[in-house]
Amino acid sequence: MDIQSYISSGIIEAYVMGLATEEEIQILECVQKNSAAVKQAIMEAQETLAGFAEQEAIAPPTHLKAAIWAKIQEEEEREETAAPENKIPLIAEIPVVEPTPTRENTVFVPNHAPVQRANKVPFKTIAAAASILFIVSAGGLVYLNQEQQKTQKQLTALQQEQQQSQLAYNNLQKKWDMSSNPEMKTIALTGVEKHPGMKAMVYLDHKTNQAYLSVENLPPAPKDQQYQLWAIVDGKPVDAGMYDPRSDGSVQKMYAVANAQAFAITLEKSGGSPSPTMENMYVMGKI
Amino acid sequence: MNPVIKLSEEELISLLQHKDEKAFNYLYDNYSGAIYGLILRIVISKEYAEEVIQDVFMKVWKNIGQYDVSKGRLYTWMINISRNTAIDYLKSKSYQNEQKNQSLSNFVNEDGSQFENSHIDDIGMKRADLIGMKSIVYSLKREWQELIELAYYQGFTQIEIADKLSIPIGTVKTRTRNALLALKELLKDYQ
Repeated sequence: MDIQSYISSGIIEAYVMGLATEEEIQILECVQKNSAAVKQAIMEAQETLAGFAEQEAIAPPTHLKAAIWAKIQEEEEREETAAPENKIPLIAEIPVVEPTPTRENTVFVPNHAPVQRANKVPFKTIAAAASILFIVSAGGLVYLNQEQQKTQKQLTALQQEQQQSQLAYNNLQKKWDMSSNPEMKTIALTGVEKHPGMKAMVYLDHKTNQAYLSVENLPPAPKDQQYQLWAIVDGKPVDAGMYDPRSDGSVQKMYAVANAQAFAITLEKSGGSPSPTMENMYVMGKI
Repeated sequence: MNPVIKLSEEELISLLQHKDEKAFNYLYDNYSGAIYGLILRIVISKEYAEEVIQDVFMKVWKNIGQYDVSKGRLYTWMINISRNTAIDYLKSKSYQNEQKNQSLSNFVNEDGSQFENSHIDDIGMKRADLIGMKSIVYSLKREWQELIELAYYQGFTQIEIADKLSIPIGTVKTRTRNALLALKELLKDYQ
């Protein structure tokens, strides 16, 4: 069956008129996601029915409007006050989607199918939908594949997210430990005039002069370039180590530098420079 | 309600989700005629129709969160709720009557269907008599009228229709399609 004969089989009109079976509905809903022609045909059929209803409109008795609004308000008030389990079921509360016993094979209202159904479309249905699509575009399996890939991707993303939050937590823990360690001095390096808002932290151990670096906000270094930390000792810059971009927000151990009065970070070629390129200074902070 | 304001369905839906009285007014002023006309044609009783239309608006109001825009227009969604509610209402009425072991009131049969053995023209006549309005459906070819009657107004399944008319299910589908295409053409004349 190609897509044209699928469309002209009457399945779309049956769906719109509420005649299609549950299985037919599921297949159609799968197919329409992937076929613009089917989607279009459904919309046109729905337009016809809307036009029909419009044409057959009859004005309801005028007192009804106020009566219905009063009922809605009454209902909402009751819902606010009463606990859900005490609710007395009204005709209005019978779930709209419940199929009636005599029409058990069909859902008469295809347009607001229960939400949970989307999650458990039977394989048979996906397969049927896919087979229709396959012949149409030779791409039916793409759908199944895509579904699987989507799930895989979601799973990977979740795992990554979890790893990242674990990592972020560990980093935070480390920083917390550093800054609350009485031996450790925390120096905030802030953006110079050219780079406002940039930020890094240096933690300096009083006893050993060991420096640790935590980059809080610096743009990613361009290719072949790297951030270099400098300690300023008696007005002269001393190399305090290269920032490893792979450290990804964690606290990184740098060099030990004695008698530093300030720290600064410049952007240098990969591997570092013997002396800082002053115009590429990003952040600086005094002890 | 300012009649000059014309909202798109998206705007209306977002207003409805905020449970705004203006949204109700707009909804009612713009859709109650189509909904009432449809319900009245299904239940064929003004008394019943008044009850059903109240339920329909309550359902639309409460379940607007379930409306899925990817499956069609708000209009279609409301039409389906209206048909569903009206047909179920008739069923429960006939069920109640059965329980009371009373003779069935007017035109509802034991199984909830109407006019089971009546000729299609009689149904049209009854509708026209009761409602005082003739449907444009009756200017369609007989087999299409019959299909719309059974499927749209009486809510039979395609299997039931196939049985009733002694035609294959495939034919029910193609006939449904042709009926809707004919209706579409017909509606053009009224616009």
